Amino acid sequence: MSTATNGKRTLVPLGPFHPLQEEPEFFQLWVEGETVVDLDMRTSYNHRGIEELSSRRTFDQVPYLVERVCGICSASHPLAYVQAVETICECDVPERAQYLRTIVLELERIHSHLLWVGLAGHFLGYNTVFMWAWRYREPIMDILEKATGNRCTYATAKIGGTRRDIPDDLMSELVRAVDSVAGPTEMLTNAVLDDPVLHARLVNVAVLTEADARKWCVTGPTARGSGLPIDVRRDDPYCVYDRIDWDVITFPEGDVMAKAKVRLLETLEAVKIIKQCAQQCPSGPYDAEVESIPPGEAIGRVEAPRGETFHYVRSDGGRCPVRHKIRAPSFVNVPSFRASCIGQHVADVTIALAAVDPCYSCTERMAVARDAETGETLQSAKALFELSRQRTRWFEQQLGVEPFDQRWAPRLRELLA
Amino acid sequence: MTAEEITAVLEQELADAIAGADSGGMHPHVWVTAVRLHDVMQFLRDDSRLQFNMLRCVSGVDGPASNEIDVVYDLLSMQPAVSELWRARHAFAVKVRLDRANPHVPSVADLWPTADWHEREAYDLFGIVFDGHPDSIKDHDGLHPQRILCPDDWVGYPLRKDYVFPDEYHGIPGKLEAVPPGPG
Repeated sequence: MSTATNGKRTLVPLGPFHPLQEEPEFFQLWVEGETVVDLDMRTSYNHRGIEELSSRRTFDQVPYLVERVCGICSASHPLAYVQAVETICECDVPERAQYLRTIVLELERIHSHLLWVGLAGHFLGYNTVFMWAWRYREPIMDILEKATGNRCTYATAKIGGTRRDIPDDLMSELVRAVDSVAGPTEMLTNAVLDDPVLHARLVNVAVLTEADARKWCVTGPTARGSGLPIDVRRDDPYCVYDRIDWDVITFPEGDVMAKAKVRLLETLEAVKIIKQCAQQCPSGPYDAEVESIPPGEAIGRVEAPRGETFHYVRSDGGRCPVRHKIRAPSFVNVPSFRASCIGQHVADVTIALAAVDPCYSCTERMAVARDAETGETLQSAKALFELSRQRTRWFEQQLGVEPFDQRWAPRLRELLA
Repeated sequence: MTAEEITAVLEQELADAIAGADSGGMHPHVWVTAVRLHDVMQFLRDDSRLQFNMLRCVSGVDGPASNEIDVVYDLLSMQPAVSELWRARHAFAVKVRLDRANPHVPSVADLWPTADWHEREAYDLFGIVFDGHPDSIKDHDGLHPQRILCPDDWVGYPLRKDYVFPDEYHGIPGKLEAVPPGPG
């Protein structure tokens, strides 16, 4: 194929509606024959204005906002913010809360890594891996729902502790659930590592060398798959990671297979961490009283499943943060595609682009919609509700149906009475 | 190295570039003059004692009350440990205070390629111009980095405290009253 192109360059657009991934992103691949020679990235199709919104919420409300930065890292983002605020107000978090936070973080890591392994199989057209990985992930989602009240957006961390406790009987159920996943995950790990199809598609594909990883300052499994053992949990221990026996998983190869190995083995490490936490977790309070947030600034760092989540919070002593900057792991991992994808075959690029487990929602946090005259935000629940009512009324007029209020309100009142 | 030691090294080697320091606080940092920022960053990256080889975050902070804009650079040093694997050693922050009406600061994308996206974001949302940015374009605002989160033809810098959302963008209304009640 490449001999017939005479060095001619072709543009292959990938996105904005990606054929495989759930989030919109736009890659322009310049190819000669089947080899990618240059690549351009265009993001920002998921722009929601979270940094701006955060400066309009009180310190207590922000965790519930930032856990919506990303559906998968929804324990890591609030915790990074909460840790920054706790540094500012020099608050002592109860021991039990630290253990509970660690347990939820590691449950999140298990479900995120298994999700990635499944998606990686899906991207390769190998749906058996997808079915397996997602099946084993399900008990983890169930136990997360039981322990926190939700499958995602757990609302665990709050300033000073955690929002709710995990009672002893639930804790033993949690350990049983995690234990039940350990065996199958080990089997899945062995199956993936032995599979000739996956070897053919993943080994030596999209290599990110250690030097490139350092140059692009990548984080998380992307860095650890390139022989760069950077892990906030060990480098700057938070919660109880310094009191638990666990290992940082690193592989030097830098290809997609190395990143898959890192994620699979980290899942097993997470099982180890959760079991130790459940055993060591002391009884006592899980929430501390925080009176006010004094002026100051601090950073909060958490090792999210995709890498280091970095939050910078500045307070002027008021009710809301003056500045809350969120640097999600994908924001630094995604630009490294320039180092890993150029020179690859087009067919390998889909999995190469998935290898950093990119999260475009995280990468694109900001926008602001405000009424030009009154200065009120347009994203307020009231405004959106009014907008939807206007639409319904318009449809009712167009279709000539009886207005909802007249049709259903009396019937509803009847039912409720 | 502790934050005090890092500050001492900087004050000894680049005294004229350091405008202030806070090494004992919750977020240890030095204040650097904008013109010398690139020199300080290069020193922080290349000095054998410091070796800050990872740039983690570039944040803009708007301060309309004092008519200033801050840029905060968070750095991390990764070093080989006893085994041949790498380990994080120390972290530090560098801050620059700029004139809000005309914020210009040298780009550090030549030192850390990851700064490319960080600086585009800071231009996009705060209007901070990073001189010498590798992905710059020239238009009516002069030479500046490309936008990254907002559309290329967006007007204004959304995270500035006095930003006013436009009434209309390519036929998309920016005000609630102007929204037509449904399609058509």
